[in-house]
Amino acid sequence: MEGNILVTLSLGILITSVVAVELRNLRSTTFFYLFHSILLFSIITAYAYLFKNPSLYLWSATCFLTKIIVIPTLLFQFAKRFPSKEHRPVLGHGISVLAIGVLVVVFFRLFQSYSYLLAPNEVARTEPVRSLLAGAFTVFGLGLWALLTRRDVVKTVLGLALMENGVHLVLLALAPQLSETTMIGILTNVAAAVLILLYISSNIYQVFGSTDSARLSELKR
Amino acid sequence: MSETVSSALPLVLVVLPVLGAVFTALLSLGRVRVPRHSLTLVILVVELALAVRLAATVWSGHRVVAVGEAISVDGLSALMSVLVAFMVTLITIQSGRYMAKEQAKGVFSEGRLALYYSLILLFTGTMMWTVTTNNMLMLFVAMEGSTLATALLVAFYRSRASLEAGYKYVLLVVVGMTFALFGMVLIFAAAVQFRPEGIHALRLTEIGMVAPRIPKNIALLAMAFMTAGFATKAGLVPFHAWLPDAHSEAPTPVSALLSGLIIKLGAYALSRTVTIFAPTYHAVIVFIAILSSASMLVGIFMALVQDDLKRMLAFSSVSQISYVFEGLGLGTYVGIYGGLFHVVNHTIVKALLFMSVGAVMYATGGVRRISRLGGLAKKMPITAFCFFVGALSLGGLPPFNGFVSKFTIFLAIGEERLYWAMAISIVTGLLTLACLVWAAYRVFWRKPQNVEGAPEQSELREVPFSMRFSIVVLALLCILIGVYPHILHPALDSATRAVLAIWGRGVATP
Repeated sequence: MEGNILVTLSLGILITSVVAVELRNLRSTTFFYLFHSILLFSIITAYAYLFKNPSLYLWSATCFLTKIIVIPTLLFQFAKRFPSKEHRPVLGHGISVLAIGVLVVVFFRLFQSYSYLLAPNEVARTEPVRSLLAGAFTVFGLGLWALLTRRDVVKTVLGLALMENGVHLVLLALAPQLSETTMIGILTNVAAAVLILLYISSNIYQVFGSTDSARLSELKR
Repeated sequence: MSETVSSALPLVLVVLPVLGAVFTALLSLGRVRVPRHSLTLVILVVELALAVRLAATVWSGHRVVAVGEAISVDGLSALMSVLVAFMVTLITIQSGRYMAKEQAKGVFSEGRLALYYSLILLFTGTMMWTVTTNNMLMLFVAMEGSTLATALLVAFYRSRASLEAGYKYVLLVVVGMTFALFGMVLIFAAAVQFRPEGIHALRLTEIGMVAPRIPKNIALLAMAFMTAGFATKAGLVPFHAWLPDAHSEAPTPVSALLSGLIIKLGAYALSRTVTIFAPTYHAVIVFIAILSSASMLVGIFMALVQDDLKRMLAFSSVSQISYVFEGLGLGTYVGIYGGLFHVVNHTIVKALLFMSVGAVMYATGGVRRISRLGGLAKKMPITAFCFFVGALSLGGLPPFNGFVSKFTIFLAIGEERLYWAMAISIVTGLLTLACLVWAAYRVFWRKPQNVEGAPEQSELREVPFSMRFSIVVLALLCILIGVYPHILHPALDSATRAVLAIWGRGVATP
């Protein structure tokens, strides 16, 4: 029963990531990213409750602050200045949806079946941690996919945020004993990186009049 | 074994520049006219004095810790912190006139000059934090901090090219470092499981005791991720795409910082983590050797075809940092010694070369294309001499410092019987010599060029003393270390032993 909650949340986080990557309207994308972050927060909180690890509550609080409040606010604030429609990605819509579907299924199945190769302990090899871990790897893969195939700077930043979320989920699944200061450091770091990237992107928008990273070709030599 | 002393000094090293940065920024916000350059310089000189003071304690056989054991300064940290403080000070001395002239030209506003000095101080703080932290994941956080502190410096001019360079720089390095974080998380998770009683799984000083117990598949995957991440930070091929852009579009003193110090953090992190696994897994050594060899060749071939002086130097950094990786990756005493020696030498030489280019750009009004320059030696003999010393040294010619460290690395590779890698590194050395000396000849000794965009010969004159000072000091250091390499031996030996001590071989003699 208790495992089901984590498995459901892991699947939810996968679906929201896919939607956030695939949507063409940048505002809706940011909205789905917010939803994804709320699910991430729920996973950490549920994990803390189910595994009776109260130190994780501080972790979920920091996650709430950085991932639910700071990063989406930044994305909304900056996205207001940019055009709301995404620049045409490298792949067409149909192909992209198909590819991403295959990617999610293959990644998830692969990591679920072979989690023993990477999981150093017994707990991580059994449900629900196994599914959580598989979900985490898949979110990481999705983020990387978004980075590689999207040309819009907002989508690129989103891809980066997804990759980081994947790593944080792996951290939760494999090493929840992490000290608070370290965890706060890692989470704050992502927010700062997003801030700097969006700041530079808005400068790029002012100068180039576009948020299409393919336009950044001044230095290709 | 060394004795552990507790002291607040390492913490001061981290906090002082950060507070200085905040102070400088606040003063400018309040529109108070302050001599920012002098203020920054004073803070940095104090920082340097503190770093030397701390290093003296470490070199006398102690390990200094602060905040419990969260911050730990051993031989390697001491070497790096002195190097950082020394270089940033010299670079700031040169920044004064250079940035003031750029500002006078109207490239950026007065307020942004304040931001410049704030960011330099912030960068110094994050560098110090990176080299003194004893926590594996905090190492990641501090390295990211250093990337973010320099991001706005790369995009400083806010031109099309510099914004593009800044965007690429942050994005690629942050993504690369995310891979490294992934690797660190895997190692941490495994270490928590397999550590012996009483070992703290995140401490860099203790991770070596767990390393051999970590299952092979986890260790190798994590090593691959971490090497890729640190190689991105260091700018190795194929993760180098950000480096030539960032180095060529940043203000020239910042290029010297990036090439001299930032990319060395990748090497530092490698020596603290991946090197520890090298003795257990031979595959790690071969993987790093292949990566470095490819990077050496690509870097130098790209450098050879550049017409832009700064881009040429940037590509040469791609090639030179590979020597460092190769040496460190071997995990032997000689390898690590050579790698760290080359860290010191390359920092000195690359900062010297970039600052000489800065002097050329200052004198010519910003010309940096080799095809437009020529005959500068007559008007700028001191800069010409310094650049030439740097070129010979980077090319690995005796009696300059580059020769000694490169030779040590060749020996270390030979010791491991990786003869193909040795051949590649020797060939790269020769190509570097050709590339740099040929560039020096064209810029300083060939007939002045009569092409569009070439500087007016009659207006050329040697740069002011404050700009010459830094390059002359560095050029003299190149010769001094080349002729008397043993003056660095105590510091390098202590640093090498600090790396070896992590996996319990600190007592072994070379």
